[in-house]
Amino acid sequence: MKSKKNLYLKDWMRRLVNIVILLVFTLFWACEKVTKNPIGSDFIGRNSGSAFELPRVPLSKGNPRFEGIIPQSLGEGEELLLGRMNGFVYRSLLRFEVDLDSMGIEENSIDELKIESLSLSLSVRSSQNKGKNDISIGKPGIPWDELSTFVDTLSGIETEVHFVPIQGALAVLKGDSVLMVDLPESFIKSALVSGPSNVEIELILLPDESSDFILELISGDALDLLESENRPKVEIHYSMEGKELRYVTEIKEDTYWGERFRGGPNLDQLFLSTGIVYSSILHFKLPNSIPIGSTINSVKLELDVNDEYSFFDVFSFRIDQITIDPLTGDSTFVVIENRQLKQGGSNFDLSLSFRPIVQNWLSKRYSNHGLVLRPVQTYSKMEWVALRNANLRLIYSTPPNF
Amino acid sequence: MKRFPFLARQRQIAMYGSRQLGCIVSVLILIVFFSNCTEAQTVFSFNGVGAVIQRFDARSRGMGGSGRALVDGENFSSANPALLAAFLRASLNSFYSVQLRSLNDAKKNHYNFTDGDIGAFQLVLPIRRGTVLGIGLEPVSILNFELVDMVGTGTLQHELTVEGSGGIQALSLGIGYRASRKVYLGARLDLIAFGTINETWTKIYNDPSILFSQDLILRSHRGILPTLGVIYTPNRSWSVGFDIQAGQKVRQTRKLRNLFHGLGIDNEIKSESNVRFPFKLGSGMVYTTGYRWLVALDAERAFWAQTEKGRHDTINLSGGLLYRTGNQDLLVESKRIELMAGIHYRSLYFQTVSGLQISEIGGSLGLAVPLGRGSSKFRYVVELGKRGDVIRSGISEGFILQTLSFSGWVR
Repeated sequence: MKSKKNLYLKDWMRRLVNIVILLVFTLFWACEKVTKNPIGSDFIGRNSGSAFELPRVPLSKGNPRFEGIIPQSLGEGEELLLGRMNGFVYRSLLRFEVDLDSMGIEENSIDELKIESLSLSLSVRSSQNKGKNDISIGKPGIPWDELSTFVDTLSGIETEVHFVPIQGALAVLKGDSVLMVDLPESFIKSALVSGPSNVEIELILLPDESSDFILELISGDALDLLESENRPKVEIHYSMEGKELRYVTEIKEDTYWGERFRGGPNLDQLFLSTGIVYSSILHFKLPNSIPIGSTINSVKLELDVNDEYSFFDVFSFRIDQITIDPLTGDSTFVVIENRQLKQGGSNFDLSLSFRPIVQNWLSKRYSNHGLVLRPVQTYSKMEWVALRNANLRLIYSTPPNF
Repeated sequence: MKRFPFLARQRQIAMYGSRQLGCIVSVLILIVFFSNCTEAQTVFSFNGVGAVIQRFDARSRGMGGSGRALVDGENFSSANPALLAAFLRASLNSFYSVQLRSLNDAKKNHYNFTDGDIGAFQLVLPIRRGTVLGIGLEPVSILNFELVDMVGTGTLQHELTVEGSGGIQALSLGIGYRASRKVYLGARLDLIAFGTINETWTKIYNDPSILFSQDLILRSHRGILPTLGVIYTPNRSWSVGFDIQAGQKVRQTRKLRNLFHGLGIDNEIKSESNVRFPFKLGSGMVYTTGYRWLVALDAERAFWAQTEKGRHDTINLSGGLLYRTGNQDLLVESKRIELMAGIHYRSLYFQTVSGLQISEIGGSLGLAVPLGRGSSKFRYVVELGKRGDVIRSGISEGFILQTLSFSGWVR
């Protein structure tokens, strides 16, 4: 009995071992790498969904937003701005010193001084002359220096600068390179006669109300080797004791500032600016034709820069999403991306960061309150960008038929 | 006991059956645990509810898929619920399939795929004289489909990847009743509550600035599929069986989730509809010489065309034979091995672009080895066949399907 049992157990073990071997074999045989089936697209029998491009989702609403004035002292910059554009006016202040001793004029012989001509020459770095470019010259009525900001920090609005026009003064743009300001001889003669031996002369340059231009002038603080030779200069041609003499001196101090004109930019104009900070609110309404369940694959924001009405080298800005608290109604701006604008218009691929936001709008999980473009403030100069033709370019894919 | 003296002897001598079965089940569990294979099925299975599973055990598979009238207390096929009534002892059955598929298309491209599958897990419990319960977790349909294709033109051209997997599983509750010495009755309810068909549709664009999209479609089902069966054995040699499954609607819930749903940015889209399973009629016939030889023929007709436009009614024809070695008397030591062979023809219900129906032909060979002196058996079946036709359906799919099964009494 025992031997029969042992035989039986041996037989059983042998069978079990054979079975296990077979199982292991089939396990590894079955578990080969499964490659994707390239055949069989005809057997889907359902629409897999399609991809669509909306090349232009236009603005449903776009307007500038005044965010305040940043007090900036621009006197130590390398440029002076002068002109009027986009609802802003830029004025420059200059101060130069006339040294009688350097002119060779003694105090008791000043009556013999005859001023032939007095001119101020400013080199133009760049200009945008759209229309009239009449410039007025005056004598400022407020104390100032290169650190002045011309902003009332309590009220947050521009300071009013009074001046007295100088009769007979004339500013002429010669070509596109030099602004010549001719001052009447009586203007300086009276200063020289009544003042000490070192006489400070102050001027304010400002565009006429009907003007439409911008001049970027090289300031007295220009450091560039080439530009330093073109710093503002005052040249006096005079005669003394029958001798014709010439006196040249550089500007001692200068600065400029900007202020809004008649409320600032038009409300239908998209505008970004530093200093007098303007952002632009963009609202794109997604078309109802996008089916639910669709996926946004690509989002591109296209901004066309109106170069004729813009002034910048490379303009840094950020794109924020606007959210509104449904309870309080408070708006919040949430940064999406930081970007830079260059001359000639830009096309920004916002897919990575903005795609989820547009998807939220599409699914109506979040209300579409639009975007805001906000300038990144620079403290060395005033810049601005006039935008037009803002639109979104979307690519989306519809889900498969299910 | 007096009515079935042969079976009483089987019970006496099967001392080691349950221990062996426990060992085998442990091995099977290990295989499942360590197996990370995807599920196996045909390239045609993407349509509808997937490829419908033939509700036959390994022995019937070895006989070409026939045997719905083979009422001997060892037939775990759930195609005919009346087969339950023949079980005299609590029994367990499970099986595992692995498949090699070879695809050819009209462009003479050729591809091979291998995958594995866990089949049904069934438990049979006689509860009283003549009445037997059957409980099982069985697949009703299965789907495995993967596709890569280039779609579209220009800047929006993209690589489309479609992956479909899953299937419908049912908790199968059956009852068999031996009404008389010659008549076996049965009923089964398939409670469809498990299993999900998952589809992932991915579009990757050639233009790298266009980000990809991925849509996930989940289909789950709820419903009941009832089946009735009857087997009549006029004598020891012959038996005939019939089964009928009522056409039923099953509730399908579909959920679409795009890529952003997982990020909490977009909503899930849900919809529901009814999916219809067809009215089915099956019949079978068995002739046996006694212990040594057995021949079975089966036919089944399912009316799929009424369930959805584009589908086709199907017909399954199968025939097989079984040969046993050794001595019929279990008290006599001998090697009792079963050898099986069969052929089948099946037409499939799938909608096709051409509108022509896909058919399948195949043959099978099988081997069953007893484990111990009880009725525990290990079965190994190889089925070879071909589905589809390059000209009629654009693709032909050859397959080699291996099935390994363990069954036996539960102590």
